[in-house]
Amino acid sequence: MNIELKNSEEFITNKVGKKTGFKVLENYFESLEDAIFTRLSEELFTKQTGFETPSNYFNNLEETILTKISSEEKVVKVIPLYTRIARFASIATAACVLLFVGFQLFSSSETISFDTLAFGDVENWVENNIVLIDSYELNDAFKISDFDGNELLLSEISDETIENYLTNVDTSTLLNEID
Amino acid sequence: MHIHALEVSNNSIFLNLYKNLSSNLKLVLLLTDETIFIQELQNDKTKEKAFRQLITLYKERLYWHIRKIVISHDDADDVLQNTFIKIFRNLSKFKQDSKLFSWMYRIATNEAITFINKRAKDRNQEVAEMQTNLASDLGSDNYFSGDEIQIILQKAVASLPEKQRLVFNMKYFDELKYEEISEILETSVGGLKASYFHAVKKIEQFIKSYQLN
Repeated sequence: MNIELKNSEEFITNKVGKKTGFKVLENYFESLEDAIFTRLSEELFTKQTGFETPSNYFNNLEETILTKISSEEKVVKVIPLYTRIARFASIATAACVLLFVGFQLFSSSETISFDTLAFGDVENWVENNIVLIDSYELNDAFKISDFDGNELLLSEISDETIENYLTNVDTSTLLNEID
Repeated sequence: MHIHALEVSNNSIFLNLYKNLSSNLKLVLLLTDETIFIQELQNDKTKEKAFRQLITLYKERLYWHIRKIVISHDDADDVLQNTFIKIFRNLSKFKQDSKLFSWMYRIATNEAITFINKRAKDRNQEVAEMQTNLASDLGSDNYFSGDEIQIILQKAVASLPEKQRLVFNMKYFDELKYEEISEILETSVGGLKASYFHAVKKIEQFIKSYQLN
């Protein structure tokens, strides 16, 4: 095999030679280094900033951070939960009262009329403000037919009531009424 | 100063001697004992300078190796730059389980083969067919100064299976030893010898056929 190989090799060498025929233009190899470093420039720049750290910096970093965190935790105020609830409760109560009052004031659909007034209030007002009432107005307001004389006579006025009236009434008033 | 005299086992003595040498002698040393050179390539502070030295030392050899695989100069230029960038990015991973040169040559080979395989797939062509067509057009190529018989040889090489093509180029043109090719292609010496034998026989036949026609 060695001799056969050698012979075949020599045949090729004799016919073709040892040159491939391939060539490059002048300065190709001179410019190659720059071309490669242009492509590598970004990688080289980021890796060679020149910045350095103290030795064991990264080894100690975790401990340093944890120490700082734990010391900050001691300064933080701890507010008990019940105080928070109490404060919130008082605000809530005040808000409820306001809402209740507001609803009472604004949600009432009753209109005030003469019928809504209590009888006692009307009687009091009439007794205290009798001078404001004009007898002519009264006369106009009440028609004779509103009053049934019989009704008056037949109304049950107790003897005690009559006695109290006669005892307490002013003599001049009686005289005016007779007149 | 003889290079052999500097092959000392004590690295610290070697390091002191090395530091006092001129830059030319340093370059010569790098070819024989690459331990320190590799250290410089893997040290961030010295990496860039050492890498520039690496480019200077190996750019031409790697270029021609790639060029013989891809044939076109422009493609070879692309692949060569990609190769050096890949070398740079992987310097820290180089474990010295082979020579630095073998490791770089292997990267260059893989980059070139991947390149032509991808192009053939994109064109839906067989690699051999694509490369043979490229070789046929070398006569009009500005980056080719050979004569017709050299074009025939390139067409013959292009027609070979991948392994035979690689072995033939490295053995016939680059004159590498089988042991060196074995380290680059990670193939046994015996397998390489067989591949080379078949390649040479086929090329011889190709040339004889052309001459008959």
